[in-house]
Amino acid sequence: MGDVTFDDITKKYGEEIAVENLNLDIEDGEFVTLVGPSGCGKSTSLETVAGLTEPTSGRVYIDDEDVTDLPPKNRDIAMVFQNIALFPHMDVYDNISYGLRLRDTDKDEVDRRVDEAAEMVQMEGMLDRMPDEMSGGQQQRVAIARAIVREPEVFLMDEPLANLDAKLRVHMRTQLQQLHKELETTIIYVTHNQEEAMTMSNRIAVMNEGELQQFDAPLTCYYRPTNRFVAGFIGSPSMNFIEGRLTEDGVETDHFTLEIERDLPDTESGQRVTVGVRPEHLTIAEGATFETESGPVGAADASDMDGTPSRPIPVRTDVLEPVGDDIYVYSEFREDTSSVGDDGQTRAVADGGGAAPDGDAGASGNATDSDDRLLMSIPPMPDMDTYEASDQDTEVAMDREMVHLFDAETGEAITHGLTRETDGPNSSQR
Amino acid sequence: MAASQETRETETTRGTGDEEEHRNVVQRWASGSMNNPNRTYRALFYIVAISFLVTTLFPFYWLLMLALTPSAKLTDVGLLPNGFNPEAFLTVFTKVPFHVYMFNSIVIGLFTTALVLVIASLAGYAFGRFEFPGRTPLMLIFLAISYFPPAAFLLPLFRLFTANVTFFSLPGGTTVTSPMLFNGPGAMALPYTALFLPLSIFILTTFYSQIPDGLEDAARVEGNSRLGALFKIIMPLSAPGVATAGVLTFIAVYNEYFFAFLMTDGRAQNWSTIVWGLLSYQGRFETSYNLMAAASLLGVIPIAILVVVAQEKIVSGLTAGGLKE
Repeated sequence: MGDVTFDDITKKYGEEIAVENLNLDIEDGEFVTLVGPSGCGKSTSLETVAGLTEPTSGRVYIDDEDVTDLPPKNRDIAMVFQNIALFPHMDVYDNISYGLRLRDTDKDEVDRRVDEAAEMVQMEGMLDRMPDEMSGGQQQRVAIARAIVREPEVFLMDEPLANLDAKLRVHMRTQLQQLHKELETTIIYVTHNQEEAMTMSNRIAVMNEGELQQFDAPLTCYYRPTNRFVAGFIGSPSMNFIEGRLTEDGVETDHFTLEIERDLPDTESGQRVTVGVRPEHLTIAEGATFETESGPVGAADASDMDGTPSRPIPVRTDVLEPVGDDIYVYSEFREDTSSVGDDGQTRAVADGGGAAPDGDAGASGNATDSDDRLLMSIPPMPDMDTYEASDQDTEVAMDREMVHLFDAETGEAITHGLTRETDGPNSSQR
Repeated sequence: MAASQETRETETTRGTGDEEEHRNVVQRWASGSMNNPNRTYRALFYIVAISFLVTTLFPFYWLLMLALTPSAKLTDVGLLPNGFNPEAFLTVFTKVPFHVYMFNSIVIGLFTTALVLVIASLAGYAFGRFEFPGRTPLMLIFLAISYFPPAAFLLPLFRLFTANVTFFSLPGGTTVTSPMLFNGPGAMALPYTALFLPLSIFILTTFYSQIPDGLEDAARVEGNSRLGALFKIIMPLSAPGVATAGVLTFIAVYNEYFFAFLMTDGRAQNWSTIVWGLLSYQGRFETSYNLMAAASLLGVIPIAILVVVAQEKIVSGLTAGGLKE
């Protein structure tokens, strides 16, 4: 019914390429999120489905019908806009019923469906309000009611929650999911907020610079990112990246080495790679601690690291950020020859790999994307009330099942996990 | 020591007091306004405002005096009428069908206004909401044309509207000529539309360009075509601009003299406007100045009503157009 196909969509504005060769197959009833940083072409892609932007080349199909040349009104779609776009000179009833009245719907039918839609977004009893008499959240709910009242094949949502405050945004997020469950209509949702994308969608299409990076279920994007961009974009706080190179039996960086127990096809020893590991997959190494004013912090909860820990990596703590159910520990690598091995060899790697990381850092654009800084997320200690712990020497360990390797040149993923192959990474998730 | 200083101070104060008394009125006023400039500004404002009101309103007052004066006593009219003859306001309709002339003016005004608003809306939509090559030069050309003297167009238009221009001949001898519009509303409405269009385009361009893209997109997704979105969403939201353009066009057409005088033969049934109505009180042997004056006053009424009703919208329209966000 409401499946949407992007067939090789390209959109250029003059020489500027907004979207390049986008291919997506969205199934009926699916909640798909297009996510990416500003200017990645996600809104343009959505507008090609809406018919508000004409693709330079490629076709768009809705319900297997080629709609590329149809005007928006003949596509059986509805759209919710970032700036809400209620008609300011009409009251709520007129706004919601606008599309129905344009289609000469029977008056009783219009009334019935408007009431139904208003009830669904909990705006019943406000039908005679004008848009400027309502709060932002109410306005956005009316805009959603305006979209659902026509019962279209496909909903398009262009950052509908971006202009709402944080609390309301989370509330509307669950409302939208509820709505999707009730309506069972295809929803294509655009956002730059990876958290929204992760929580709401059946599948996420991650885009960057006009190109599709990955189109998969949220957790697949999280556990098996196809490239370094997706790895850095999905997940909060962002993944740590450390430049290094492959050796015969593992990977070696300026600061640590990791053993690899699986075969990596199409790789060679000495190849430059980027090690990626998420903050939540780092812990304080067994036996190691660091002092804070309210007491020592150590690997208290051993069960937290149920994977295969790496050898301890020496670091020096810098800043602690308590965020409630986690503490973010920013630390720097510390020179500790005893655990790194041959110092001379490490130096050489540092010089050789120095140029590439800087170039790549810009592409993914993350604050934690530094070679010398490591962000770790650990559970909070009980009874802890101060978080001053700078310049403490300690050691951390990585969950080797959760370490990703990316090609330093192309950014493509080489492997997800360094341990022997298991059934799949999802079997080992916490 | 201290006492003597005190005395000297008192003397100085008294000295200035004496000077104040010795100054004449103008000097006192001048020093007063130097101390308090706002007083001067207020005075200047009243002088300017009152002289403006007098120069604009005196003609109307004079017309009223003329209209009320019986025709026999018209030779020597002062600031007060020589007699009292309000009948003139009725006689204007019996001597000449002045109501028909007014009707013609209003109909041509409304027709032109409607035409101008539709065309200017389409043009304003294109100019205001699209980037296209040559947009600015085209706009400037439009504006330049509106300042061309109407006389420059008169001869060709007169020939065109009197069916004197042959477009082409059909086989068999029949020729296709321009339509006979002379003595009809089209002969006036068409040139008016062309002449007054640019101002309306300019006003509406400014307004339409300020309507957010999202609203138009929403209207199109909801089921409007581009034209539908223009007339159902963009135009109602630009109501002050549309009202301004409409009122200005109507007033300009209603006041127009040149084409109104030349494109008809002056008979009421031939769509002649108020201009001709007023002139028809001028006979071969006598000119009824009192009737002319009465008719002029009556002719002003529609515009006066329009301005009073639409004043607020015009003011907001003109200022909003000027203050682009």
